[in-house]
Amino acid sequence: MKILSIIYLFYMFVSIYTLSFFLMVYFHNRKTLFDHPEAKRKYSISVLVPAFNEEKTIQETIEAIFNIDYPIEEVIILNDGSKDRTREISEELLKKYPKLKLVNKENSGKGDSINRGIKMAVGELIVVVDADSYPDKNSFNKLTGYFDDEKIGAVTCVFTPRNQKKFLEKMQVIEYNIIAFTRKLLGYIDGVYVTPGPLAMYRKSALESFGGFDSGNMTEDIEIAWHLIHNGWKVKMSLATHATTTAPDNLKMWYRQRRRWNVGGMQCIEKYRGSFLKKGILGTFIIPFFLMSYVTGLLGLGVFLYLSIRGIVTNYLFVTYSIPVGAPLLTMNDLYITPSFLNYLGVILFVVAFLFTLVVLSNMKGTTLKKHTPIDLLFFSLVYLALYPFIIISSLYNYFKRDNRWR
Amino acid sequence: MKNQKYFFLYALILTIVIFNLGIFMGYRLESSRIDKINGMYLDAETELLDQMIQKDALSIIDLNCESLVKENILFGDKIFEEALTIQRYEEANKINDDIIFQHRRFDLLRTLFWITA
Repeated sequence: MKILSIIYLFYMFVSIYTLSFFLMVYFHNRKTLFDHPEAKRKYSISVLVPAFNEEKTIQETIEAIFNIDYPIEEVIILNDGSKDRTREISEELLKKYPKLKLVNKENSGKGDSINRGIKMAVGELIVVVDADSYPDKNSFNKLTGYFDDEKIGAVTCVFTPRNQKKFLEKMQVIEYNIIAFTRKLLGYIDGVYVTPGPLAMYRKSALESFGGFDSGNMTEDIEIAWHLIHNGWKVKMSLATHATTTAPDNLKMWYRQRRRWNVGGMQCIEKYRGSFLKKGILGTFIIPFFLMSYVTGLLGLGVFLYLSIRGIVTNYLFVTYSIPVGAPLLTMNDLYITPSFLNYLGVILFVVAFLFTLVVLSNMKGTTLKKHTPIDLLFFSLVYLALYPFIIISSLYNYFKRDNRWR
Repeated sequence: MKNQKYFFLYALILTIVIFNLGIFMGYRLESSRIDKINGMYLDAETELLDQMIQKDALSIIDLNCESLVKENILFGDKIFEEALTIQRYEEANKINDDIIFQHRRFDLLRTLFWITA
């Protein structure tokens, strides 16, 4: 058997396994996906809003937080050396909201800003909300119940782009929903690997037990989840809780965001490599899952480039040598398609994966399938996802170059 | 809520079943192609033998040479088309390597035809 066939079969196996796993967990838990535990008592909550150049969104974010139907102890804006009008707008908001606090500091990164906030915070629970995100009114009520279980260190939720007009934004709506849905499924095996910035609730004592966020990591929200799990805490996902956020509206910003996510993921693998394949869900699932996604992405891209280049060179030579001797460039034989069984398997796998996407979108509240045309869904499945491996290459370059700039 | 890590194992078992089923069906598909080529080979071999006998018979009795030439051309076209089919099958076959042997046998038959034609 040729090496390419072996690679294809490896892909098939990994894809079938991943799909089978998610589908099994889904069908087993489909009736409880949107359940959330009711809190037995009220918790005191401090909300931290790290902000860097967020003049366009911070006011609305603060208003959304104070609009939440849960008693909040304090809201702390952590202005991380913004160069725009974030500070002025925040100072105006201080007059309106007595429970609002403002910390103006030198730029030192999001993780460090949150750590400053944790030291100041008085609440039992810490909620981190990005300054361009907007939690739903009932969001805190649906998250606090999880903390009745003393092993829970953090709870995350669904967030979707607020801006959904442009084609790129629509793609991200599909993507964010699929990510949230699969994160929920991973929650059933304690495999939630990230507590995204738009809205995540943490137990303060859990964060304090290991010194809080890693300020050197590009994705402090992935690192903190790994750190919690590494230290024996559990991270949960609430599909019933929702926040909206501002998604990148142009390719440049989109690309930079994805690259940052990947570099952060690579930093996490490096930091926790000692746990690889060792006891616990971090070592036996999360790290291998991340590694596998990078390996399959790069391998797939390698095969794609090899086949493309080989095709171009072969066709060039064929044309170059055929013309002088008058041989036909195209014959009827070229029009026959004889698919291999790998092609058949690939098509079946694509159809199942596509159906899974439809299942996800039909399950997610507020993001009904009606909002997406078949072209959106096909483009997402065939083109959008295929862009990921290219970003991994660029991320690897930045990772090895140790380029940790937030851009 | 109870941890559901046993799904890792269940998914693995299901994957092994589906994967092996896929490989088995793929093997059957490729084997059926090889069977088809085998049939084509036997046909071609019989025709070639027929032509060789006709050629030998020409030297003994007075037969119409024109019709024999036509037959030869038709047969040449036929085995050329069949060779293209084998080539396509060979590219599409990923598991069963027997097709390479079949291809070689067919090439030898074609060579024999060109020598004796």
